[in-house]
Amino acid sequence: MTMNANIFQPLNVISIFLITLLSVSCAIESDVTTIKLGHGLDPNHPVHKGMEFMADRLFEISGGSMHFDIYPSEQLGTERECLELLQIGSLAMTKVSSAVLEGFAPQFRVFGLPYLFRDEDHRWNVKEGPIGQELLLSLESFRIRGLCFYDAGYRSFYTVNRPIRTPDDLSGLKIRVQESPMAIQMVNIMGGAATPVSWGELYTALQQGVVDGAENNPPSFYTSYHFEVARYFTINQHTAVPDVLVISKHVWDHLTPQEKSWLQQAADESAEYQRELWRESTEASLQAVMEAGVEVIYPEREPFYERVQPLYDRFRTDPRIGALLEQIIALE
Amino acid sequence: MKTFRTILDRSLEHVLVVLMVVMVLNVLWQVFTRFILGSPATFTEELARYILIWVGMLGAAYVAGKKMHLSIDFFTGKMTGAVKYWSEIFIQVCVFLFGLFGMVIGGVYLVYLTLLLEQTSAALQIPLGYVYIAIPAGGLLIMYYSASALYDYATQKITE
Repeated sequence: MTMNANIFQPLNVISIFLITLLSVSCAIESDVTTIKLGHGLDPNHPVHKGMEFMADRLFEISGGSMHFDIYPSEQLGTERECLELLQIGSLAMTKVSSAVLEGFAPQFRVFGLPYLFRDEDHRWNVKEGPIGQELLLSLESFRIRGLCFYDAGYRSFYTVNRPIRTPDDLSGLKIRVQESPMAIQMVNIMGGAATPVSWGELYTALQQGVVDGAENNPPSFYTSYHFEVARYFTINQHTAVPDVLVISKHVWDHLTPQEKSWLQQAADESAEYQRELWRESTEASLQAVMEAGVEVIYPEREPFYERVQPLYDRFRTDPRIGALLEQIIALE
Repeated sequence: MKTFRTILDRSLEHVLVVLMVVMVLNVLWQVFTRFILGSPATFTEELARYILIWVGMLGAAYVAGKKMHLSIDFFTGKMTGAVKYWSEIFIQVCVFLFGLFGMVIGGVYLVYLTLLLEQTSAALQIPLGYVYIAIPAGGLLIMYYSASALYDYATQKITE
């Protein structure tokens, strides 16, 4: 015991010294506004690269008076946890999929509807137009503020053993979805059995046959290495669930009007830049999975579209998203 | 005082046992629906997670009462007499204050906010505020147990 004490003694002194040093360094104040941003994606992901671009731009246009600290890969928690941190004002900014927002702000369920957008122009007119703007600002009553939409492309099915060419091929297949009520209903109505499995467990779940397939966008299919197990990728592009860049209302209210406009400008510019990155990454990912021997199938859109129409009938009368849905459909 | 504490201990034990049983049945149901019925239930994973939160918080309080929490007793093990006595009191005061500020006040604020902002869970569609009530509830129990330990120390004589 006495020997132990001798070993621990200097270590103790060192650790106390280090802790003191740390707390001193934290106490240094400066006039630079630092914005903490936490998100769940890998640093190689186009969304992360878009954020780095935003960080550089903000530093430039604010003349060095504002800068970002970005924490990727769920270092500060999952998307839902980060959103909660935003609501209590502990974290300044995060990126969430609008599927996760469904639990916080029900109006975001509208993006979970399959085949909501007629084409690319329609999709961007909704997101960048007044409807998108209104949706972003509607988050304020939930103590967060949407800054801009990031592109998260279109989600499609991928399966292990059986290729999906028509919706009928889905019957009896267990498909992993996000924890989103809309995604669960969509897969069930198409004929599959929806199962929420956490993203991190999906690789093993596919490998062991817990699920027969999943659905996601090409870059996520590629970067998660699910293509090693799932050999069929059916580009049916059922949903286009966007990512949303959000800021805590508490933090936003404490920025000066000048800082707000700098931040908004940086966010808008990064959204545009990220869109381009996303397009490149989608093409590269598709190319890469094809080279890895995955069969990429382009099925007819109509049979899938027909199959999900009952969902529209159900949600047209929904008090929370019915009016919004009509607005989106009516938009050019 | 003692009888109330015994009743509280017993009821906590029962609640914890029931929660554990429900959790096990729930997970078994998940396996059953997935492999036997072929259409997996969607609510089970979420339910298991929320029960685990309650088991964790109530269990932490129960164990605090039994003084069975993990601790580094390297230094306290060497102490004797008055030093040990005051160090125990200091520890219990810290635990009490953590329960008060960290878990009860902070937890009530969190519950209030989640209920106010109407955050719901994805599969069960229940307000998440109800799940988070576990934090202030556990905090209250921990405060009670550390207060009761302090009372014991105050009434006992310094031994040795």
